[in-house]
Amino acid sequence: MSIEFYDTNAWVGLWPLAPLGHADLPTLRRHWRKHSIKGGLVSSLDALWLINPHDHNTRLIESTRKVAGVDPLPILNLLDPAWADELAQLMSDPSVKAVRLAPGYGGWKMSNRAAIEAAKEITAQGRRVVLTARLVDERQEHPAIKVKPVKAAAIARWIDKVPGMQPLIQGLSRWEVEELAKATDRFLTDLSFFEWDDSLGVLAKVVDLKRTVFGSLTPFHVTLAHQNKITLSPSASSAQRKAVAAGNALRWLK
Amino acid sequence: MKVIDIHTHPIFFGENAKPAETRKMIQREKKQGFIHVVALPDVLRYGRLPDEKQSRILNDEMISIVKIGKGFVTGFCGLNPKLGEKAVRAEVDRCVGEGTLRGLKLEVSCNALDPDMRWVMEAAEAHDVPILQHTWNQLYKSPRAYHSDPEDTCALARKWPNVRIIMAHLTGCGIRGIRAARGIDNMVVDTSGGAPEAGLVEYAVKELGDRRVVYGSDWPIRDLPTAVGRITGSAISSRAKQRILHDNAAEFLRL
Repeated sequence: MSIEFYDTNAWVGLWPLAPLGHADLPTLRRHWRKHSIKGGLVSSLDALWLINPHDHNTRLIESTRKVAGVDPLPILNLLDPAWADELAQLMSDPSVKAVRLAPGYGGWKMSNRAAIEAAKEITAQGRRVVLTARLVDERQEHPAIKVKPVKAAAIARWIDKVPGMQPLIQGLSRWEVEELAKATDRFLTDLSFFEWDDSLGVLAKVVDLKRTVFGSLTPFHVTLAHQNKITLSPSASSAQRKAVAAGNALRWLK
Repeated sequence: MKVIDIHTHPIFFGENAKPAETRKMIQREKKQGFIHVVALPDVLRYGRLPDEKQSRILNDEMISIVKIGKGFVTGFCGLNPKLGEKAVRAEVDRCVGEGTLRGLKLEVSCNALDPDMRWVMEAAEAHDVPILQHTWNQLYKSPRAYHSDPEDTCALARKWPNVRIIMAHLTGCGIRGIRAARGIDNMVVDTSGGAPEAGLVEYAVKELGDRRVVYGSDWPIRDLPTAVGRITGSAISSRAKQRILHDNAAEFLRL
């Protein structure tokens, strides 16, 4: 079965805490082609840790302009007192379909009032919000940098306070998705840290697979491993696999 | 591609313990391309220090699975070394002595270098069966008294060169664990557990050679196609993939 993928969780730039190399856009696109990934949302690791990631966001957007299939996913750090200005600039660019929030790496908390205000503004502009709940298994992190995953309860409270928003939450474990799904159905999830025997079959019991998308977590994870989770699921139908691989994400971004 | 899974927990916290469920599980594994699996006991069902009676329950389940599996399953005997020499020897004689179970599984009852490991290692040597030792990087945690870091498992393997050792969990061992495992001919590292982190399989093959890495999933905690994908999706040769997914385990387990 030939399945085309749209990758919602791909990164370029340098991750300083593991020997992953410095991935640029051409490298990522070659990697995608090898794995039948026709496009995706791309964020910059260089922007992830910065209080003001403006320069890296701008560079990312410029580098993806006119590159078919590559959608920039700039990062907004709400610790930056000028985050509203940064967001306004991002919203003025039509190529920005979504904005990534990564509280664990930006140093802010979901209870921060700005988390609600920023999400409301992004939603009001007709764009999407992507929330990074986890990027690295916390057991494997550098001991000097203990980034805790965003808690499902905090995500649920945040979603509840932003009417009309349907964010994509990335990096939740099986137990965290189940906890979040009990509180709300107003979210999409990827499978980057969701794993159990027949991941898709287990996920389908708590989240409609129409709200599930593919994310490779390149360069952190083995891409084929995550693709297998979808293409070789023993319980999902062919239509469901195709939708999770690409259709759901593309529809959500329209 | 033929696959042998050296690290599965067919019964997990009591689930799948009924024979009908076991048969169903075996059918599913065969359908996914597996030609043989190692079944490890439900080691944490009673906590990290199961008593003698609890250990017997867990190991009886393994014996049952091996019988149902009819050659498809190699069962390992779970041990709590802290129960002492008499209990350890009795359980190994009961389960392994008759040839039903063909390996020993150690979780987190004690560190791999605990003095009580002596009885386990002597039993493994006497019966000529391999040991699978749960191993995970505990660099900034504190349970090393009972939890084995890669260096602990590697030191155990060096101390007992006639005992075959499987150091479990490549992702949990990480680069640190791979480097610690260099030059230990009686030990292999299994690829089970954790997220499919990029670069680790390649690094293990580069540092240890493709003969010393074996495929394992940690099923059902992990998704089988995902676990296989971390090997098939790695930048190593086709020959190395075949060795990791099948040949090395077949040789190590003497199938």
